[in-house]
Amino acid sequence: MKLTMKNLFLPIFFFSSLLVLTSCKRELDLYPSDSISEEKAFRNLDDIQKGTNGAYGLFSWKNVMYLNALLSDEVRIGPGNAGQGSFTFRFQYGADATTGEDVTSVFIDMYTMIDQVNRVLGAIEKIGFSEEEQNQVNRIKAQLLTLRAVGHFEVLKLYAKKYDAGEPLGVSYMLKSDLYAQQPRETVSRTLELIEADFNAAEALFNAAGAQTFSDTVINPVNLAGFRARVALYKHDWANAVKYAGDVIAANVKSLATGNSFKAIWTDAGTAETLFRIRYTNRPDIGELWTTQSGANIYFSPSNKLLYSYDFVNDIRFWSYFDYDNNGDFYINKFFESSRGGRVVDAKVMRIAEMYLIRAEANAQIGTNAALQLAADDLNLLRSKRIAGYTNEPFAGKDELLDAILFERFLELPFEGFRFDDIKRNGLSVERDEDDVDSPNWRTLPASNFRMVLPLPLRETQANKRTEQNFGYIKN
Amino acid sequence: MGTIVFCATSFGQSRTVEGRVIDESGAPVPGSSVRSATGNYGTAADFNGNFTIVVSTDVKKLLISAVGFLSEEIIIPASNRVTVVLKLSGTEMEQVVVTGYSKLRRSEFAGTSTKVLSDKIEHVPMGSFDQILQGRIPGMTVLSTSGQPGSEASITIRGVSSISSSSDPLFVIDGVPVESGIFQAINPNDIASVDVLRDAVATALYGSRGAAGVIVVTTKRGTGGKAKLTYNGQFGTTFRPKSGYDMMDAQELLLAQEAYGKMLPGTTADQLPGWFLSKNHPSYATSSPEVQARKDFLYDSLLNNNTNWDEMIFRDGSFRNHEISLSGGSGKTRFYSSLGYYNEEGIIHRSDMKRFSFRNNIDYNDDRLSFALSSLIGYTKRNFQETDESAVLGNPFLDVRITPSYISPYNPDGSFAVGNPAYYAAPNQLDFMTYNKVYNDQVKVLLGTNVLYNLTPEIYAGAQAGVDFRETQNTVFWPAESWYARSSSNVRVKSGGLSEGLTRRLGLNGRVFAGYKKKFGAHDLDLSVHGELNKRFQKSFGFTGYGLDPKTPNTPAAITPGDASNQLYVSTTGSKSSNALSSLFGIGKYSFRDKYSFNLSYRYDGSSSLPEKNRFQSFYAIGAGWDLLKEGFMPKPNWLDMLRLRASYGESANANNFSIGNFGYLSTYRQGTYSGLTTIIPNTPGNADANWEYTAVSNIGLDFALLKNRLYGDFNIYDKRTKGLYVEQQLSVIGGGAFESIESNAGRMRNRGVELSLNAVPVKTADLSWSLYFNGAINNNKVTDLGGVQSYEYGTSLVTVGLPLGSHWENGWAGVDAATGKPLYYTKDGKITDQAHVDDRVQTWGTSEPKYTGGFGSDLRYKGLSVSAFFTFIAETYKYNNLEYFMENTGFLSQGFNQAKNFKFWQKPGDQVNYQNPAYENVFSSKYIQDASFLRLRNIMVAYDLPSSWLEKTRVFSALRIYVTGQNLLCWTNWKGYDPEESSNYSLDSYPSSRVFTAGLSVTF
Repeated sequence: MKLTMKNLFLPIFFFSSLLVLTSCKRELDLYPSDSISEEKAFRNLDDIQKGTNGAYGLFSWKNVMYLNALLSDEVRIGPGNAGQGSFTFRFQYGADATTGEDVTSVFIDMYTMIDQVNRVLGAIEKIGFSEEEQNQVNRIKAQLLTLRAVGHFEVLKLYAKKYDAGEPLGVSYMLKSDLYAQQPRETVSRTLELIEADFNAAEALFNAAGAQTFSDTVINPVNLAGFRARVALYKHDWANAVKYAGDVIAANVKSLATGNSFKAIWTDAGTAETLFRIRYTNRPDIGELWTTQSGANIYFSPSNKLLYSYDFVNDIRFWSYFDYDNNGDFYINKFFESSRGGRVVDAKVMRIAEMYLIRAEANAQIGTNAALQLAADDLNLLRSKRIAGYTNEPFAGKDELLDAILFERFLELPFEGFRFDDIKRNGLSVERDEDDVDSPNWRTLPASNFRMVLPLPLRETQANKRTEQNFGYIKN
Repeated sequence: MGTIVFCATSFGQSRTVEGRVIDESGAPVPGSSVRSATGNYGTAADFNGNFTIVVSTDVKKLLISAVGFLSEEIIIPASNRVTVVLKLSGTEMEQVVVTGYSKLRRSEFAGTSTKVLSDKIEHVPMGSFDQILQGRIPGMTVLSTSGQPGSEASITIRGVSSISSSSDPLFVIDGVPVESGIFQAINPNDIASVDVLRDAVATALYGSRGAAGVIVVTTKRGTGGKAKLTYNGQFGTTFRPKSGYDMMDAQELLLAQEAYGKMLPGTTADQLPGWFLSKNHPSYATSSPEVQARKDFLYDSLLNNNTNWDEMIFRDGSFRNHEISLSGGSGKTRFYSSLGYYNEEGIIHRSDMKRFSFRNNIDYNDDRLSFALSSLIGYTKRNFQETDESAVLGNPFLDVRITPSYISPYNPDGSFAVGNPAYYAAPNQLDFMTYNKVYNDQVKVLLGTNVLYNLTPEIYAGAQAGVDFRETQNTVFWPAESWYARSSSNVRVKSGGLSEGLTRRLGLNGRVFAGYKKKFGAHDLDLSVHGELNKRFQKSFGFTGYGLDPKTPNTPAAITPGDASNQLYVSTTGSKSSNALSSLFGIGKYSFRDKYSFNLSYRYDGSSSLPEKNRFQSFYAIGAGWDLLKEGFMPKPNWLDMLRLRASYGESANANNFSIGNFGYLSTYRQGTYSGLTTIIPNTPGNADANWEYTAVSNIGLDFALLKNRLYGDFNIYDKRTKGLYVEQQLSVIGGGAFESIESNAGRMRNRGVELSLNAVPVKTADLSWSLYFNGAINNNKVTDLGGVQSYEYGTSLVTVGLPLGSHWENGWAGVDAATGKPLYYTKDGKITDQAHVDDRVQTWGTSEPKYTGGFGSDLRYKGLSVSAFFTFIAETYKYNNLEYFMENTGFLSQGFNQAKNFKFWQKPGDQVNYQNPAYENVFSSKYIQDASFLRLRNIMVAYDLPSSWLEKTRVFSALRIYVTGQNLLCWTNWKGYDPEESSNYSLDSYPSSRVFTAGLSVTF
């Protein structure tokens, strides 16, 4: 009995041990059930679409609007301000998280969106799509590439010096998602090359995918041309700025609005002029940017400089963009009233009016007589839509016309995310009116001041050893 | 005497051996186990130490053992009558160290472990056995996180060894690793012993799980022989500790408000009734007589209220514990079965625990096979104060202090005087405790089986399987009539609600092993190999429903289905996750005449929580023991009985306490929404290089006994180094995208310390015995590396290289400027300033990690009467007193909260006070960092065992004991909160440990 037990038991024991141990290796292959692992996250077209939706959700235009207003002459400190945005408005910002929270936000927002884009683009490469899906895949890729280019462009505008083809410090260009990336900054011309490369690829993909109906909530060939016009204008490529802005206008999906249909743009009751919107379904992110939801506290008021620039009797923009409360304090009404209630409004990233202004500016820069005439026509057309009883104005030469166009941008596009950049790219200084500031210390920001270029977040220069901080700001 | 059932017919003739077991003083040793050296015969001595055992004639030797005594092996004399004298196991060297994988005699164990026997655990009126271990183990810090009945303790062995993960030790009950921190279902009176393993030899057995120490619990087993039925009943009262803050009565508070109002005219202070209604208020003189009369009336009615909120919210709770246990066995089988009912009411309304526990342990042994089955099924129900560990108004321990005494608890109609301003906190709380319910029901099942088969005298093999199952159902209920519902603006909350959450946790453990053991000559060798798999599954789901039908309120059936018009949609939550650990390991032991002993272990562990490239790692430990006195060349002085040197080194990790979670190494996504569309966005960054936090421990120890074993103990010195600590590594914005940082294995930490355990038995006679015991430890913790950075903010503290974890980071408080009443602070350079600037924060305020811990006590017995007292202490631990921030702060006075009596703020130039001019804001500073050292009379017990001569006459009882115990009766501390034991860096007004007084009766039939 002893022997049989021994003979039997040992083999059985070691066999079962072996069995247990080999199966144990498998036992360790567990996967999360409550979150989606990388392989499962993107498996088909539907997932890719969801990832792309995520990229739109991360495209935060809000801080672009906020910074362009606070850093310029569009606003002054409101009566209900308890310190909001004061470091920014007073030009006292640095790279640290306390004083630089506002000014570093667009950098963080845009690279977060770019990372999402790169994750989805990376996933697309790993999925085999059917023939029927290919057009839709191409459209999605085109959207993502456009978002990537636009994201980098927004960073370039704020975090690099005013455009100069020879400027060495552009921005880091991310072409793939890499958690531990130590990406150096490209030169400005290289950054712009990469932006154009993404635009070209997007355009080719849209062309390959064939015709599509226009929607102002996604990237499509029309607003892609609009973004290209912006970039062309930025890099003094006047011919292309005229071409792309002209393409958008010629596409005829939106036209300059008047009367109630213009007013309806700002309450989301209508979308007469919008070419691209970031939607908010239930959060008052945009509606609360300048004033609390109840209207009780005005953080930032429209500047007197701006208010007094309008013909408030005849210019429809005045009472569309501004209003005053029970105390007689003016507040920014653009993006405040909502047809949906609760200050829930969309961010208007691009409107047709801007395209007219881009084309006018680029034509004015070209400066031939024919071009100047085209520029004057565009400007007069826009004004005629805005100002009751407007009669076309003649312009004496290029400089006067350029000044008029810049001023018109001031009147047409306030709080939409352009003003600081308009000042900067024209090599001007920020000049506020005396009664728009409580101290002369922050009345002007000279064009030569280092704060014209915003700081990279401190945590970026701390974590990314290969990047370079902008002049004047701390690195670590 | 009992009948001995035996089944040894196949071994031929049998003989009956009678005997008596006594100690060196001649006193009987009741309950001693008497077993045959071969075959499997066993019985237990009766109350007088007498036994009768029937064994086969082949049996030549008997083994006699008893708790606290050295085991004896005797040769059965021809007369078949023996008297066995057991020696007190003074040195504890003959104790068996239970590691969970093996049992070793202490003399062949080279590791560091301490055993706590049941006599120190039984009858201590605490619901969770881990709390009972406070002060019992050198180097183990046990702090009560909360005094809620049944709450777990916070346990740290030899200092914290992780920054972002917990440093909870691994708990093993009857060989089965169990979930730490949830012991409410386990009846402490079922525990026979607890072994706390602290150094590498002991913990590396557990490889990737042992770094924070291992606590091995062994439950009671059957004694064999005639079944003994024991009933134990215990009754008592729980009552609250004293608070260090005496609060102002109505008059004092109204006057303080007046003084405050006078200083800040034209501010919100005008709304404080003490000022607003005061005759000295400037508006009083100009008011009409009617208004003046009205103000006087209101003022007087406030004065008259003078509510004592302590009396309203606290209570004296009752304590009851009943148990029936049955222990016995016949032949080869022994059993232990116990049924327990525990009911403890906390010191505050609506907090209690009820437990029903049912344990059955069965053992079978024959000459080849041993089999053990351990099982527990426990059900507990606990009512909670769920917000006791946060400084919010829902915390009753804060509310009783801050609610003004001039508020009445009741409205004229008898309902609670609830209200919206925060100073109605206490009536709101009373309403909350009356109407709302927060409780959990828990079912816990622990099952462990162990089979060992000796193939030959040398070769053995076996298997073990264990189940740790828990299902907890959390219920939160509030009816529509509650203030909680009424004060809400949410239509769903207003309608009354019921929230049920169910969590199920299942831990499975399986192990197979085979080994070789051999004694040849003076050599003793034991080698074994093991394969083990641990799996854990967790699943939870819950719902919250609204619109409860008042006719059947506290049931899911009362929920109103949601629709678009009533908006009462039910919300649901849920999650599930799992992890697994698979291991292959070997354990070796070799000893030579108990003079030299070596312990070795090597373990190869794989964890599902790590990426494939780091998944399998090896751990090892080596230890050696050397009994110096057994060495021929060593002089052996008379007074010295034993001197043994131990040294060990080894590595382990913390797989049970992963801060990155089960899948922290994976990059994951989740669903979100944008503009009403579904999105897929990143959820976790996924550290593809994730690894364990490795801890290496070196230990040198000395075991000693002297003066005829009347003085004995052990001393250990250790150096515990942890590397690969998870620290937050900042990510580039460009690369990290949505993630600012990632947890990466980059930090290092060191704990160094010494531990001493000392026992003395000055008197030991048949009638009188007296023993004293002490243990203490010093631990120094230091962060030595954070992966390149000098320090980083972690929660509210700053982790800094070169300092202990938990080092406070605060501006220095420099007092109040007598001229202006401005608060003054020290700058970084020691200058005085009136600004508390963040750059001037320093870390010279000590740490919350205690440096000195320990306990001491004494047991005295005279005949049947025994008295024992046990003290615990912790010293050099500094905590942030958040309660004081509320108690002595003009900011809170201005909000209408009650303040401590000793709160005298600056009022006029020249005032030498420690509380500033109310015009200046109170900010956190070193002023609130206080010493939380304490010395506590943890437990005191007086018991009387009725003389056996009396009991024999009854012919019913074999033992009868009556006893009284007092728990936490006294506490000496400078800490001013309720309880210095709060386990975090900050005191957040946790539920303090109760004081408990009980009386009990234990009868054995």
